[in-house]
Amino acid sequence: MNSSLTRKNFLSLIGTGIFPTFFGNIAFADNSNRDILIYVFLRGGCDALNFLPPLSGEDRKVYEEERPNLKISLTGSDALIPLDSRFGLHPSAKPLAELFQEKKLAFVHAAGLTANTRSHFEAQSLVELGTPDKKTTGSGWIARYLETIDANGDGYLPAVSLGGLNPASLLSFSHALSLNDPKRMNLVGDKSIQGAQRAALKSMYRSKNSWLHKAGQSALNALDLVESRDPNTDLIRPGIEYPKGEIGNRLKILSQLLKMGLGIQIATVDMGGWDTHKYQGVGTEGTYAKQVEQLSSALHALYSDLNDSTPNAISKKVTIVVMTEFGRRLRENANRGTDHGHGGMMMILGDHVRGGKVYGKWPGLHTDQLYERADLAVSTDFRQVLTEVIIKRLKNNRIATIFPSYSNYSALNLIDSI
Amino acid sequence: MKKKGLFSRRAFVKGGLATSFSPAVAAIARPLRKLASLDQGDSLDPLPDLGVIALNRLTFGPRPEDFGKFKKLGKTDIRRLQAFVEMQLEPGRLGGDSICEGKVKEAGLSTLNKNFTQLWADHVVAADVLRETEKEKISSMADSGDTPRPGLAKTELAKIEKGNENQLRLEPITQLENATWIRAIYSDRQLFEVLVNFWHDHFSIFGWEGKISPLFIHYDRDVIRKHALGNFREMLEDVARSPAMLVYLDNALNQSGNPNENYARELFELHTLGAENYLGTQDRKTVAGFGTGQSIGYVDGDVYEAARGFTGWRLDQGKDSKNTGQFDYFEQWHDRFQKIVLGHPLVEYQPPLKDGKDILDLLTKHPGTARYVCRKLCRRLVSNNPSNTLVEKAANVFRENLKAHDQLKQVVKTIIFSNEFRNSWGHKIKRPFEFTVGLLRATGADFSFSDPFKNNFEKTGQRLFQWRTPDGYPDFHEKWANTNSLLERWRLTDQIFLGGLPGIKIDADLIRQNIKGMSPENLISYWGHQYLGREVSIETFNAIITFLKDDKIGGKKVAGALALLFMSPDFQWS
Repeated sequence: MNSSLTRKNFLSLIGTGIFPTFFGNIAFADNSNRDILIYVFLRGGCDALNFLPPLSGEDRKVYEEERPNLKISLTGSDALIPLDSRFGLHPSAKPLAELFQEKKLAFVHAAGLTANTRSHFEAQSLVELGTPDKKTTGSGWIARYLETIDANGDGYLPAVSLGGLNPASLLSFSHALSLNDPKRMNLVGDKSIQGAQRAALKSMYRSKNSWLHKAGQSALNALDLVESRDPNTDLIRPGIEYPKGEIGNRLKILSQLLKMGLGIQIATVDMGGWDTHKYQGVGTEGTYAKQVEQLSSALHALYSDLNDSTPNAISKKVTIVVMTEFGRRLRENANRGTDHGHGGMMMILGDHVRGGKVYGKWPGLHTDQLYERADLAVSTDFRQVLTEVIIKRLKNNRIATIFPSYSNYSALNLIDSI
Repeated sequence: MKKKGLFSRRAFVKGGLATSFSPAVAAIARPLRKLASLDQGDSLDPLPDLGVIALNRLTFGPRPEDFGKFKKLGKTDIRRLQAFVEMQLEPGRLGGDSICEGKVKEAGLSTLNKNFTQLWADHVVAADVLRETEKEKISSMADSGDTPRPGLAKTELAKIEKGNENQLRLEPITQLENATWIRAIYSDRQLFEVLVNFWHDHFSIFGWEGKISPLFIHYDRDVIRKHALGNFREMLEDVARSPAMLVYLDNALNQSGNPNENYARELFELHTLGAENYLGTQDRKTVAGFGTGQSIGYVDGDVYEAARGFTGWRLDQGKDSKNTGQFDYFEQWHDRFQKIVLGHPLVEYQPPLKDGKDILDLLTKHPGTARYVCRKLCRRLVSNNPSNTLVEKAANVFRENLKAHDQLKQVVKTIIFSNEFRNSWGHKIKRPFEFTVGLLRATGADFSFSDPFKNNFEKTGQRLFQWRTPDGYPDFHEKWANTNSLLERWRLTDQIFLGGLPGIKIDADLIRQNIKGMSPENLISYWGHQYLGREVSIETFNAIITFLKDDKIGGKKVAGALALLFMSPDFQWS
């Protein structure tokens, strides 16, 4: 039984009679134990060094020297929030500090893409294709994952992407639902016309299997499914406040979708605005702090929303991974911003995360330790983190298919197995 | 059935089936020409007439009369295409574009014809003044306890004033968005509008920001439109010097000592060589060709050197200048020392602007640039994955005409007059903007821009000048053939035909007249010829027939059926 469908819901779905091939779908029926993966991508290159600044030793000294204007201070109202003896958290990330203390959240510092690129578009694409050594891969890593579980979108939504256009990680997977708002999942006009139009669209789009037809089929399936789940009933828990703005809205919609029990296996969420070349701000002031604040409170809201403290809380079946295409240059630029760098950071949030810890080998900030003597190095390949989640929480061992050129995997042990 | 319905049952019966004919027969009977470079999952629909191909890809979509007009342009397909393109690319031959001009005028867009000085004065300086005076007003409230507007809390007032200030700043982009829709729909210079749209994506700038909007009218008119059919090198430099790009990619801040590399990087990656020629972070001395002054691709080192080359390219703005907002070369910020870009040395102490201009020359001359830019043009005008043969052919013309004033026109002609252009269909779909303009053109809708229209269109994901990152709206079908984009197209179509959007009028009589005395079968066939320039596919045909014969549907049946034609796969391909 799918994680997000209770038995009762399942039966009521069958009752609607709208899923003729439902029973034939073994993948859907046997994925009893799988987590839902939420993959949040911070686009533009999130400044990992100000997200998790060093707080002691030689690294702190170098950090302060290289970032005279932008450094997160150790004291005062804008001081970093200490996480352990080595690193602190940006002061605008208080909601994340809470989750960290509750041991639901872990960080991996100096994690990211090992490929030699400082181009946003290339780095994002290499990460999302899941092949750092190959630009021309024809499918995204999530698409390949979904193929391994035979997800075909019959009667459920295997993948949703929040952000309008499908990301490269879903490239070649035609059943992904890109979504703005479930309340818009309907046609317009009176009921009789809507119904007849939908029937007509089905017969047009189901007649062939071009990529266009497949996208149409997926849209029509989604219409049926979302409608059967009453998208207009607000399922957000009382008292939960998502921050206004892009990431807050998207995670709020995602929560609604998860609660609607649509059979979602994987969700991708984009958050833009991390390309801070100028005036990124100091402490809790400015663009960067605002971004951190939005992300932190949105993640906190989502987690709290899904964790209703009942035995069946959705949070028990969800793992959230946050990453970016690269971190930013250690040395600030003349415009009080930072240019494209290398090593970034990743976050893993969920009930089964061995949280409260900053993982990863710290490469250090001394010039000789930096990537090209300028940027934080990458000591943890992003695939190492994802692989652990895929094996332990998605119960899937087909890593050679999902990340074809990846070898020498060993677990960081940052999450419990199901 | 309600009387108001556009279509009565009687009309069906009257038309009878006697005059109907099966489109399936026609579709099968038409020979299937060989398609070029077929992708997996592309359309397998038969290749339509060249007129249909040309009008879909070289205009924002055919109007019913355009198919006939195209046929009259010559005796053979190739002659027709030549005549069409020659006419489109010689604006003089198209007349004064009076309908479009009239529509723009009617819309009352006061900022469109302002020159740069006026735009800066009215939408930057004036907004700054407004902000300052409002600040004073608000702070004086605190001092005196007075409220300039009784009953308004201070925070509320601040919000309102901020709103006025923003409104002033955003007025130019708001009006340009409006004008761009009108031009796409009504202009006779369709190919020009298509190419303007292409170059806006190529040199993409997010326009919906207070700092950029006042500069955007100038960017659109005096940079993009000025050069869209002209010379690439000239366009590249005007982009580099345009206040809009200087602000958007931060080169306005780029100064010696600790340069800001944002613009330089995108200049290589997006404007000229493209990511396909990016060799990563390796040492530039190891790149093949470096030693002879012609690196085969670029690395980060080239970006850093180029960033130094563009130090001091800024705008005249603020304390140590006259604050005109114009391009300004500020010598004190320029890094005077030697740079090496793509293996080519730029000597120290060059005259003003020379470093930057040399870099633009180097990039323009690089064969990688010709290929990258031409590949994008081919993708726009021909297919998702144009063949290397076609790209090379276009790139050769690009390189042979580096200094020609009509270089880009010649490149475009080369692409359009290729075999591949004539033989490609269904490797692309219309993006939401092309789809929507196409629908409005096909139906001859009377259009004026309205907020409800904008709000609905925005959901399709392609609002004008609103792509945040500098890579521009994608032109790959992989990005647009998705649930959201299709669903929002369908919704928008329904809004137009069934719901009614302010500002959009589709002549109801047109629909009613069409059905007089026609059987449903003939009606759909007629629509196919009117709006698609060909027979409707058998699947779409059958689906709409079933819809039209469904007795359970109340009013607006014909409108709902016609909406379906535009929602069908048939109308999406291009």
